[in-house]
Amino acid sequence: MSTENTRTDDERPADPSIAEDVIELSLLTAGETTGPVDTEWAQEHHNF
Amino acid sequence: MNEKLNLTGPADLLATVPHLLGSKPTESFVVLTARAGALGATLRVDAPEHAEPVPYAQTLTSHAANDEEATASYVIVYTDEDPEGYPYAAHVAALVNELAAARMPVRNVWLVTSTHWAEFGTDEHNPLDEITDSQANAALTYMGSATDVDVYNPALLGTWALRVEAPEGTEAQTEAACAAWAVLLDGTATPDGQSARDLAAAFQNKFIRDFMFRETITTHNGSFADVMLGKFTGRPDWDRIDRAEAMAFELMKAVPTGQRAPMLTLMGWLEWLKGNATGATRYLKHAANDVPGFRLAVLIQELINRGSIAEVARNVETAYKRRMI
Repeated sequence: MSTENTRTDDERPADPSIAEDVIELSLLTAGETTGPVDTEWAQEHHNF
Repeated sequence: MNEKLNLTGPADLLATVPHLLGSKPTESFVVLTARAGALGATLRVDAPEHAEPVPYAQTLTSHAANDEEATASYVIVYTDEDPEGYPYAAHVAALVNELAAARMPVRNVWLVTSTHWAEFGTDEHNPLDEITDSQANAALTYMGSATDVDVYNPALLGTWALRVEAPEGTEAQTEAACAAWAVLLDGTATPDGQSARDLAAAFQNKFIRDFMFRETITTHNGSFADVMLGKFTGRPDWDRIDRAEAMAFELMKAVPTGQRAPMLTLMGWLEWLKGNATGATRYLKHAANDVPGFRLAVLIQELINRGSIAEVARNVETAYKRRMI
C-alpha cells in the first residue's frame, strides 16, 4: 500500500484543518493507487 | 425534459458514453450496467498499466455492483495499445468472468481506438464516423449536451485583481462567512465586487473554508468527516451544488492567481461528489498549481487516485444526474 500521504505526527503541519484531517485519516484505509474512477448514472429515459 | 433517448445499436451506445461521462475516454475501461432495456451506472477507470487482470477486474466489478438492479453489462475498452491485436485481452477476460459471477453478464465488449471501433476480439475496423454521425450523438448534441467542456479557464479570469486579506477566523467571522455563502447559493444573482472579494477572502482562511465547504451541502448531519466523504442524510440539492461551482468561479475573478486555490479545491471536491473524478482532477491540479502543494487539494487528489468514490455517488437515489436531454 502506498504511504505517500501517510505521515507521522512529526511530519504533519502544525495547524491542519478539519477537512484536511478527515481526508488524511481516510487515506490510511484507502486502497492501492488505481487512478480516478468516474461514476455516472444514466437518466431513466435512456432506453437500450 | 422527458423525451426518451432510444439507443438502437452499438454506435448509438458508444456515442452516448462521452455524454454520460462528460468527456471522451482515452486509455480507459468503461463498464455500463443495464437492466430491463435501460442503462444504469457508467463507470470509467484508467486502463490497467501494471495491474494484474483478476484484481483489476474485481475492483471494477465491485464498483459496478453499486447498481443493485443491474442484470447485465457492457464493456468498452478505449485504447491505442496493440491496435492490430486484442489489447488487454487477459483483463477483458477476467472482467467478463467477474461481471458474470456478480450476476451482470456482459452482453458485448467493444474496442474503441483513435482510428476505429470494433466488437472486441474481431478484425472489424468500423469507422468512428458511425459514432459521431449516430442518431444518439445528433440528438444529444441538439439537446445541448456537450463533452470535454472545461468550465475553469484561467485565461478568462484576468490578472488585475488585488490580493485579499484572509480574516483571522473568529467564530463571528466564520458564522458571517457561512451566512453570506448560503445567501449567495440560495439566491440567483452573482455577487457584486466587494461581496465577491469578502467571500473569496473568507475562503483563504482554511478553518472558515472548511465550514463554507460544509455549508454548501444542506443534507448533512454536521459531521465534517461525513460531509467531506460524501455521506449525507439525503439527496443533496444538486442545483445548489451546481450553483456553488458557478459562484466559486465568480469568486475567483475577484482575486489574483495565488488566491484561487480554495475555490478550485471546492470545485474539485464537488465534482468528485458528483462522481466525476476526472473533472475533479482537472480542478485540483489547477489548485495545486495556483498555490503549490495546496494541502486540501493534494489530499483529495490522493484519495481520488486511490479509486475512492464518494458515498453519495454510489447510490442511484442520491447521485448526481448529468443533464443530457
